[in-house]
Amino acid sequence: MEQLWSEALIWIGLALISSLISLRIGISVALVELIVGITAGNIYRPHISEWVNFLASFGAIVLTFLAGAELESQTLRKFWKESLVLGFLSFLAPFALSWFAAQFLLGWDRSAAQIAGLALSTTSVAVVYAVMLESGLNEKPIGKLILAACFVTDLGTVIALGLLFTSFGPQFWIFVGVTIIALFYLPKFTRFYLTRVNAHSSEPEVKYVYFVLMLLAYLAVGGGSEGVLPAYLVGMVLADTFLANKELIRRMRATTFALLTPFYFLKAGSLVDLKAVFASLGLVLLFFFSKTLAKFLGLYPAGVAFKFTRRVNVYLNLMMSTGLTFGTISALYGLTHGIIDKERYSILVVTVILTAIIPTLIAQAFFEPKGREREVLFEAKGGQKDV
Amino acid sequence: MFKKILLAYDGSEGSKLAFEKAAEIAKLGPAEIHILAVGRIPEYAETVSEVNEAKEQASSFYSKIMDEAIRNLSQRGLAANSHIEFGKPGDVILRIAEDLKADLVVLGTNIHSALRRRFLGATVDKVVDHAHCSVLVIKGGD
Repeated sequence: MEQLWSEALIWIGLALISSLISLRIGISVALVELIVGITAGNIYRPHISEWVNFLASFGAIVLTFLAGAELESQTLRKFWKESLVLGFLSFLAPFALSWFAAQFLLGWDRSAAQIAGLALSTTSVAVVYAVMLESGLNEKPIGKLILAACFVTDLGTVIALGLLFTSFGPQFWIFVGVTIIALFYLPKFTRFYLTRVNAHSSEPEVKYVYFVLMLLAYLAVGGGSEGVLPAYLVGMVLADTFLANKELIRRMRATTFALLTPFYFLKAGSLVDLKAVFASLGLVLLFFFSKTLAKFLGLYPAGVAFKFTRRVNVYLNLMMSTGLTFGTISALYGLTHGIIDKERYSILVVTVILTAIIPTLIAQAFFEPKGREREVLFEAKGGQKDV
Repeated sequence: MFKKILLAYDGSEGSKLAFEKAAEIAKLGPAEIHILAVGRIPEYAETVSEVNEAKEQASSFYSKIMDEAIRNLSQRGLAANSHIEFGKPGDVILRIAEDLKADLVVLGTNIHSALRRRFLGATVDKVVDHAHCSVLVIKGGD
């Protein structure tokens, strides 16, 4: 028992240090937790027990749910053509190119190469949103389109992660059936439920969401799939309900950020082997460029077809080259399921961290749309009221 | 003289000194004063709601500071506009100065450790280096 408390003390201590650093330097706690986890993992190697694994896994699921619940369905409907095309290409091109590079240039086996493709196919809606908020672009149609396209990209990653490594046995089809029924009935039932429980202090709403996520994660894992797949889908179908109930999102985030996601990001960081990374810096660069180059190859021609100016097009490409949460989720899935080893995992996670930072810095410094460019899509879609 | 002054203001001691100087210059002009507060939002965030909450907290915090500053100026017979924006202070001050076509940016400094300044950069350095217009830096205490 004493051992349990000493382990808990170390993990919570690392989480606390991360929060204080984040507060001081203004960088999100997720990135700081990853870096603190990497540091701790390479100096001390904190023990990863079953309970840490559980909190980390559930943290990834709830975080994925929250990401799905931030979908602006109105924007997706308004720019459905552009966001589907850009989002799909933004997923497919880096997935295919990174898979190809890992399998045929580096000689990784097919499953490991697919994990590399998935980890590098993602975007980060939250990273992109924070960058655009600084320039006010989040309120402009082009900003809303980029965010909607990022949702589509992450949906592609989550679906691929949920399906690529499954065996499609009977349990998988039970999971699919229950998920489809849940997605169909959840919005209506959730609205009804929320009016009944009426923000009671025992937090029945938060427990309800956790129950749904745990049930679907149980079925997903039993069916050989991954719990983040139903979590993202449930988040998306409940997005409008949650948009009208921001207080509930705030309460869920408080629980999640305090006790769940620190374990996820610290664990993900602590498994990174820095020696392996330094020994393979060339591979980190290869994967970084395979992701960003593939995003450009996929997205730039589509941007030209949508008549974006060069600056807007490059900005969009750079924004959609970011990645963080889903990239680490995919890499950690590969490690925990024995698809990739620690060395490959380390290379992928460090590449993902670089993709969160470098493209946004370049975009902000050199390609931020200015003047009339910021209004692209505005006139074509009939003004801001419609957006 | 200056016609449009952008004052970067966060309620700190350094910015209060800058406030006094900006008011003094505006009276001589007369000049239009725009007061800008810049709220920090987490970079590389996990969720959009996390960013939005930081934004709401900063808005609420700076609204009170701005209201007080506007009231103070109006007691001196000066009218001013307030702006609350988000991001890295240096970048935002430069952007708003350009958007407003300000001809003077006034900002105060607080004493930072050399280490912090080296790693995090100083807002003042950035604004002085890149502003399209004149910049007045008022040196203050901690």
